[in-house]
Amino acid sequence: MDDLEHPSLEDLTLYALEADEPAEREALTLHLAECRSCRLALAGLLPAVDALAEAVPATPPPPELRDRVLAASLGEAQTRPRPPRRLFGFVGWAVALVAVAALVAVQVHMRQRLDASQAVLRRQRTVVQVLADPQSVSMLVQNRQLMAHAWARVFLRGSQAVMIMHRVPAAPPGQTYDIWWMRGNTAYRAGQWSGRKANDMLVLSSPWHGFTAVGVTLESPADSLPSGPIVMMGERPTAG
Amino acid sequence: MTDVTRVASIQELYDRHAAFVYGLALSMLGDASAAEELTQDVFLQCWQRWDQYDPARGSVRTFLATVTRSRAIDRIRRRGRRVPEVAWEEFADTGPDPDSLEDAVDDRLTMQRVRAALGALPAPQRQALIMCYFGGMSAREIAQRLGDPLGTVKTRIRLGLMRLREVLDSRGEGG
Ligand SMILES: [Zn+2]
Repeated sequence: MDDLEHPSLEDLTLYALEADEPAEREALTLHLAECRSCRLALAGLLPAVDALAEAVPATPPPPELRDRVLAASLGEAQTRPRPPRRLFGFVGWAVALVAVAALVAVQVHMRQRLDASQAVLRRQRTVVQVLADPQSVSMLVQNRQLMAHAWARVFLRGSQAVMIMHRVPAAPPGQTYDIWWMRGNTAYRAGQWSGRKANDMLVLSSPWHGFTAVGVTLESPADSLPSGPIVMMGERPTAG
Repeated sequence: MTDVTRVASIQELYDRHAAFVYGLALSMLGDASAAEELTQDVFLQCWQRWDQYDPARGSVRTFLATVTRSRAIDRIRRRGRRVPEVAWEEFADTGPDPDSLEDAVDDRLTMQRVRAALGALPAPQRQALIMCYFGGMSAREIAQRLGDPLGTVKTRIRLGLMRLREVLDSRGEGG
């Protein structure tokens, strides 16, 4: 970004309330990724937005709901997060995963279409929360030799992580960008990005506690393990 | 964390905050069974991430309100109904009563204080803010619905939120 023309307070207010339009939102998100003073201004608006939730009276739900929620939470206990994967290992797993993936592919695809618009909304909200928090840690992810004008920034806030892409070239046909939490030879998938938009934002999986760097690889969609070249990279800042 | 302590923590979370979540869901969706379903979703989602929740980074209540509002807006937009169920005029009932503002000076954000602050806003600002927050409508949608210019609606939202912030910030600063 050559010149920083800051958004008006009105724009920031609509952004905080999610009352703006998608194109305005995208432009403002890119600005926020680069502008700490606007991130702080946004952070100053959020308490008033949050306070609005207090305006409606608390209403006890029907007592049966409590039993339903507790029962459902027990059922969820089986579906806990999976362990990290080792880079270049467990090829046997990959073969098995591809076979399972083929069976469920059609269902998953249909669900993804239905969920797409909601996913966009949720993604935007997470991005606001993370960008607006002055405590968030920012990491620059880039590769000057390979992509001179492109950059990505990863913002970390506790268990939340978002990535803002700026002018990242389209992925070659049939390939996507994969994002990884990495340390040495171990990688934990952080997200996948179609690479069809030059500027984009995505919500990454919760950071793997042990990561020391974020890497971006180019993969064919069938790959379930990182095998393509690392095209962008960023080191995790040391705590402080 | 074991499953037993997990269930204990969701129970505690639920008992403490269910009425808050359900109340917000109900005012946004205007439908008891949809609000119940949403309340269940919110607690399950929060519970799944409970071990990653860091209390130092914000209150549980704020976290729950954000999740509840996002999910309610998803539903509102999915079913294509963009008319807020909240009767914004109701908020005028508390009125711009300076005493109620002073009484509510407290460390906690109370309903009375926020309602008093909203009640003290000029009606068009209050209306725009409520359509936006509780109705999940964008400034453009509000302008279309009210037949007012977009710029006017944006200004009302900004002034309304600024004023709300001033009133809420003024606590503890004497008077
Ligand atoms: Zn700025």
